Amino acid sequence: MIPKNSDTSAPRPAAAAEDGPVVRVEHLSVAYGSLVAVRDVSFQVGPGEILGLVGPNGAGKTSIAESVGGLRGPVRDGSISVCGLDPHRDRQTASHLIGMQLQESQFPSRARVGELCDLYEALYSAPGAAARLLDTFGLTDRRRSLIAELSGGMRQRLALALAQVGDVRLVILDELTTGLDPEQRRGTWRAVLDLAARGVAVLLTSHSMEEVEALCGRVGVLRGGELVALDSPARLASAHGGPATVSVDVDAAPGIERQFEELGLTRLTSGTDRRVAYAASFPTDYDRVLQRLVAADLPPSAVSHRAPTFEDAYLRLVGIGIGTGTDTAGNDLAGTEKDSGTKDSSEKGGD
Amino acid sequence: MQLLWQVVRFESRRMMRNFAPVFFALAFPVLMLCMFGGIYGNDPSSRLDGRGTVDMSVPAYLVLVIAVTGLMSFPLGLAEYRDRKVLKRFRATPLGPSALLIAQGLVNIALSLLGAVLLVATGWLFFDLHMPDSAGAAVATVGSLILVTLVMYAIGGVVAAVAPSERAATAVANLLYFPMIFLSGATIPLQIFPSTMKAISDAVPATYAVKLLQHAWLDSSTNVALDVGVLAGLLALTAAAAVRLFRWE
Repeated sequence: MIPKNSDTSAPRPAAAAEDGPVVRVEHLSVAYGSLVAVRDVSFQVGPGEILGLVGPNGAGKTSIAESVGGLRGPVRDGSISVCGLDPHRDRQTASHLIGMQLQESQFPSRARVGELCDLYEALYSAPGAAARLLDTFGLTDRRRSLIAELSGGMRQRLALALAQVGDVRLVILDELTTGLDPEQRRGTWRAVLDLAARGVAVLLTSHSMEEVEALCGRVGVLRGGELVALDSPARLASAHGGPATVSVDVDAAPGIERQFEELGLTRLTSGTDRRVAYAASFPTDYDRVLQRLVAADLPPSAVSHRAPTFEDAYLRLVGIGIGTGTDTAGNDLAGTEKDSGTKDSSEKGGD
Repeated sequence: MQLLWQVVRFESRRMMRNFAPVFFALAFPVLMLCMFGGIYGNDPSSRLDGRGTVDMSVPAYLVLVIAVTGLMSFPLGLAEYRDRKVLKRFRATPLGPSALLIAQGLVNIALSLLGAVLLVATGWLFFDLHMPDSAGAAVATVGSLILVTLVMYAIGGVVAAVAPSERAATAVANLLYFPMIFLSGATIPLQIFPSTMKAISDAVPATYAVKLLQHAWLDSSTNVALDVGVLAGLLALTAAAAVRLFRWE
């Protein structure tokens, strides 16, 4: 029940898997009774890579994160390996290689920062490791503080620091920055990037598209327990974000709309507004629209263009086609294109 | 083992900052003893079957000292750890959650032990408390203390297991603790209870603990087989229920 203090004699098979991916998830399915929470999910995370998992609540993010951390299991189907170990079956060894920050998991009450650090050092047989980490996270002068006296941002930074105590090769962060103010969030992001820069693999889940765009080389989009896309945020945005749009201030020149229809552009918004949006490529269509406007003596500021964002892609992929103005078209697109996005990119490294 | 020791150290520091159990295990029983010992002394009293107030109070207050950690601070600590997902946090580390459970149990028992020592020392030093007068009585007292401790912690374990939340655990623990200490003779001597109250006290498990401890210490009259039977039966029942019903998450 209680692990013997393993010191340095603990087997570290991780060394053998140094070059390969740190995390290898193959055809993972997780079920709670008859409810299948995760269905046939495969992905890898390499050393120094930050892989994000996004999806609506209940899409399976936490189930995957906890399975990889060895907290759920045995898994129903498929396999998980962390540095060549099964995180559930080989818990004793694997838990030394994995640092986790769990969603909504709090620290023990009435504990001081320093006491928690000492405990983690003992758990991971890493005497003195916390001092450097506290320094990195600007918490050194907080050693004597009670956890309750820390701000939310400090508490998250402490969680991040503790997740790195010892010789961890993988850090799992489940909704790390939920509830933080923007400044605290930026600080936490820097810490995650530093972590990856030191060669640690990071698996994070998030509800913030801004966050995964800022941090993750690759992002997996989950819907209903299935991985519907896995690629870099930029490529997901262009592949699944829907068309770029060009919008024109039509009040300035009534009748100009007819000209755009001649260009073969599809009108997206109903036009009750002053601005009318068209699905249009950039820069080709944009330039053509601009030429027509200039010919009609209108200022170039009457036209603007908007590229699809990663958030557009996400919303389409998970089946909520808002923000683009074309609900049905968006869903169809996501449906047809999802396969190509999933398979092609899963072998590529995080770049 | 070394790791468990680290966890015990961690938990004991947290415990020292927990006002309620520290006060009610260490200070409260001593204050009660000082108050009633100061008023009545330890002269034999006809109201207490010819025993002194202090002699009757110390074994009774020992139940108080055990109940406050076993029924209150132990289950509340566990409920807090489960509710706030602290157990889960440590399940993700090489430690595992069971070490925390064991450490909390040990720290709580240590607190009660310290309270017991303080209480007995106060009685002995200031109020002429008579210690068990034979080696057999001493052994019986220690044995009774162990049995009572196990029962209280097993009941506490059930509270932690069935309470759906930390709040609920607090409510249930209070509902158990206060009748347990006031209706059992642990704070007010059973001998001065009116007959209705005595009948009620028969339904309170701690009553048997008080009677058994007073008997072991002072050789006061009681039905030992009944006391031990009730406590042992309750222990078996509650321990099985606690183990069966406990949830880590």
